[in-house]
Amino acid sequence: MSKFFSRPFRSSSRSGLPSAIYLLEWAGLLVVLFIIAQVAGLRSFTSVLNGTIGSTNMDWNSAALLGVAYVLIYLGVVIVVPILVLAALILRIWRKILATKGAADESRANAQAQRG
Amino acid sequence: MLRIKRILAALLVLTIATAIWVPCLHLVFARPVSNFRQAEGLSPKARQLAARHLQLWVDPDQRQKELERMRASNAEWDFMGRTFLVWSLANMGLRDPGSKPVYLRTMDQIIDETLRLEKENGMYFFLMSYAQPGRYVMKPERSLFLDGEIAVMLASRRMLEEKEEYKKLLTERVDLMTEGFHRSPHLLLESYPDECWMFDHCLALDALKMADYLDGTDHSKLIHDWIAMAKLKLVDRESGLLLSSFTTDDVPLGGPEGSSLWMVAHSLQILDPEFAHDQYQRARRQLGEITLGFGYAHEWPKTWVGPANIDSGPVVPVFNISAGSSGMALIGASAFDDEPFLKSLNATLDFAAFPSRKSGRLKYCASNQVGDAALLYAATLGPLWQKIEGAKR
Repeated sequence: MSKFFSRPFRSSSRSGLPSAIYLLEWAGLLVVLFIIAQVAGLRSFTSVLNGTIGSTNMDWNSAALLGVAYVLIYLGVVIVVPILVLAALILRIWRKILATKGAADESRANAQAQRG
Repeated sequence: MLRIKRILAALLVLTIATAIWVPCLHLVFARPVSNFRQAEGLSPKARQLAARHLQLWVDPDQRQKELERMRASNAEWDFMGRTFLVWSLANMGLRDPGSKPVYLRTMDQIIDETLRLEKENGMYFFLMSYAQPGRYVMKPERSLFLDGEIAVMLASRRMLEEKEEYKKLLTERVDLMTEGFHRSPHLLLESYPDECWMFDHCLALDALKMADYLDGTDHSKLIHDWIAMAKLKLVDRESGLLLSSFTTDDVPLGGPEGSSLWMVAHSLQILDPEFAHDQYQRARRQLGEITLGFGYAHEWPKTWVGPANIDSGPVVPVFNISAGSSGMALIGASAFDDEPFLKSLNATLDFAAFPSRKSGRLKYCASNQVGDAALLYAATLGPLWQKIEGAKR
């Protein structure tokens, strides 16, 4: 865990771009949370959205809290996870472009130095 | 400096990713309309929703649990869950004659139990608690909400297959309502003490129309007079939409609310098709929305300020999405063959109502039994109204 999420915007390369892995780690965490919520049966508590209690064995506030928690985790998986994955992909492409450009600049500089 | 650069780069890629994903999100949930409703036969979704409801009526424990959850919020939902299911089963029987015996058995079970509960506990059993301390203006005290919907239940059953025992029961309800209308100075009957509802009046008039079809009676003058009165006195001037509730002296109580209007427009289809079409088009323009491929509905038009209530359900801020109005909008879109709206509403349903499928049975977790029964009605409506319209022609 100490390694996980330990590099908010630390770059693993010289490109100065944030880490794509970091975004994928967050996406992974949201997916794990969703699986836990799903297995725990929190989906049925979303009936709070129409004003019906999720379980008659529970008080209103607790049932509503579980329902709202499920909705937030679900929205995280359906909306945020794909955005994080896409962002990670864009970062990778961006980094590749920068790396290619960097290599080209370097070889051009080396060629100039040799000529000089 | 480098850290700020990285944060800005992260924000930029997240913004680009959001701009790509959000407009595409509806594609994950969008399905052809035929998945929800078909011109003939039953759609896959109708079959799955129906399977779950039929299961509830052979499993008393599960049914009791479901009803208790709803009654903890609103006793009306227990009653309306029954009526929407009976109307759906009548339409399903006409669409799928092979399964008619199962549907008839369930319809009879629901009707008999509902009538028994009403007889044993009185009409307040199916009304919200504020009905009891109030005083009904009209005597003897009756609720048009119960009389109208029970009459439509009985008529729907008889339209699928005649049952002699229900003929007398339907005639009794129809006579009670007709006498009430004739005694009322403004042609308005109460559902709650000095509280009349457009939804209940339109369904009561549907029951009269169905009784005319079944028993050869003629309530056309009453229906005509009532609609003429409603056009004159019960329409909100700014939106042109019908008001949802009013007193027995035709003083408005609630404005045009989406959770009533979509069903009202559908119910008007057999009473005054042109007016029905006009009301649907107005509701579609002023209450219905499609944003990024997702359909939803407001509870109130922009010209009316009203609070969220038990009918509207919680209202999502910013977009003003009403769960109640959006659910009932499926009935309107289905009844008026508004395919783009129906398709987008369905995408929202599968995105935000949390479908749960088990052994071929479908329920929406964000809904409840009455909500799912209304969805089933939206997925199956048509044949009952077509029968009446066919007879008229």
